[in-house]
Amino acid sequence: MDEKKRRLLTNRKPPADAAASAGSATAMKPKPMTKWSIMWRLGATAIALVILTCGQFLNTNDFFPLGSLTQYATAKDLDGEVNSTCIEAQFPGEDEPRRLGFNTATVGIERGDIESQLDRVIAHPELLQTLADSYERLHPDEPKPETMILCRNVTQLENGQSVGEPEHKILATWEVQ
Amino acid sequence: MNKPAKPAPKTQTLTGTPAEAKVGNPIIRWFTPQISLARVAIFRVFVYVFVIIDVLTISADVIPHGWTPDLYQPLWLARFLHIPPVSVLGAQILLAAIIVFSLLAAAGILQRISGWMVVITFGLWMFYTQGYGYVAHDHMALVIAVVVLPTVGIARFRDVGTTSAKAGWALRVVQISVVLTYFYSVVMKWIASGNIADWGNGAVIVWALMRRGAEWSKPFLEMPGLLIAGQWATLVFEFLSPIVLFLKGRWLYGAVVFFLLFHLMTYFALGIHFLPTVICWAAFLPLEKLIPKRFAASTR
Repeated sequence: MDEKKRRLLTNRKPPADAAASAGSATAMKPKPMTKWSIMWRLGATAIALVILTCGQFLNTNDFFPLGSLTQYATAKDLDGEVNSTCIEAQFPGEDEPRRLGFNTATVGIERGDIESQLDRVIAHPELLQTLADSYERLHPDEPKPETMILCRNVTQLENGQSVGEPEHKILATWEVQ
Repeated sequence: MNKPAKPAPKTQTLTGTPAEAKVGNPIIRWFTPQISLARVAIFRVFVYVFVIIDVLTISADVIPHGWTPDLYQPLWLARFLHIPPVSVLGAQILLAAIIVFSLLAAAGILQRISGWMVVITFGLWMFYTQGYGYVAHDHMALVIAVVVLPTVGIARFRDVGTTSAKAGWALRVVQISVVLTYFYSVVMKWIASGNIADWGNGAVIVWALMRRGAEWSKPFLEMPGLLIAGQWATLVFEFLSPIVLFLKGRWLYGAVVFFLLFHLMTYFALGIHFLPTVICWAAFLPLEKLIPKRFAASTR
């Protein structure tokens, strides 16, 4: 009823074509937006686009969700090295350190998280204590690790193909307390 | 589309309100198209159900992060709001709140309150999943969708024939976020690599396959030429992605299917599913068509 009155007042034809394009035979009722409503929406869109664009050029993820889209963005040399960070633990009575899964289910954090703050962890190996603590909490029935070892497997590429066995490097170690 | 194709001044005299007169501007009209409210109601189901799946699987690392407060690296907004590292109990409460509010929001119950509560709780969850070093960029469109959906106001499943420009803006913003996820990743490749040809001719896929490739995809490591061709193809379609904003009908559906197949392939090869972005591709589709005619509201 209101719709009919409004149409008469505004001398507007019923927007039947729009209703059809919306995939329905029923009548539609366009809801007009106030000037303010349009203004803040366009303003917010513009600000978000500016922040997102700055995020790219400043190469920072800090403005999440409007940070830089860096995943897989860095070019890799066909004759370069492929690095893969790993975590190992020395358990009592075992000859060699054992490789642990680098994920939240094993050490409470994902490999990507540590790789993103690798310099900090290497400079402060005491942060590996947190991983040991998480391991203990997540594996209450297993022995406690004596040493945590942050390591890296390096595969050499030649023309995009791997050559030789991956090299194993130790980045940081921490005596578990 | 559904606006009268007449010059703006005439629209002004017809409608009589200055607010509607603004809609004569083609840019504003593009940003705020009139779309069916039922489309938002259905898109909301996609988004909020996915939010629940997300917090339980993809971003489920928040609860373990409760054990590793030393590794907290808060993002700018989290520092600005002085958000402390999460505790295990805090994460569990947050998880419960997200699930409850997302279920309400998906069902369209207490729409405004439930929608904004998901913004707050899921927003916090995102600070806690992304605030420990690694920031995943597949969540950009999803987080933006969660933020803009409550601005639409009330949208019911039966509102098939009722259109709204607020709804149009919300879904347009999601669409823009989706395509910019691809487009800006090319920009970033350009910036990070210095020369885009270095990325195209480089060993990124080799690197990704070696680090996290599935067993079946390992033979491709013997074919660096093919992988380089794949890199260039990726650059091209990511660069062209904004065109999708202007496609219609079959071309649009084709483009959506193409991107979904791309993600399916990277999932099988590398385990990278990009589902939070994939789900937001639904914002491009006339979802209101999923509502059976007999449920649609009749003419009032």
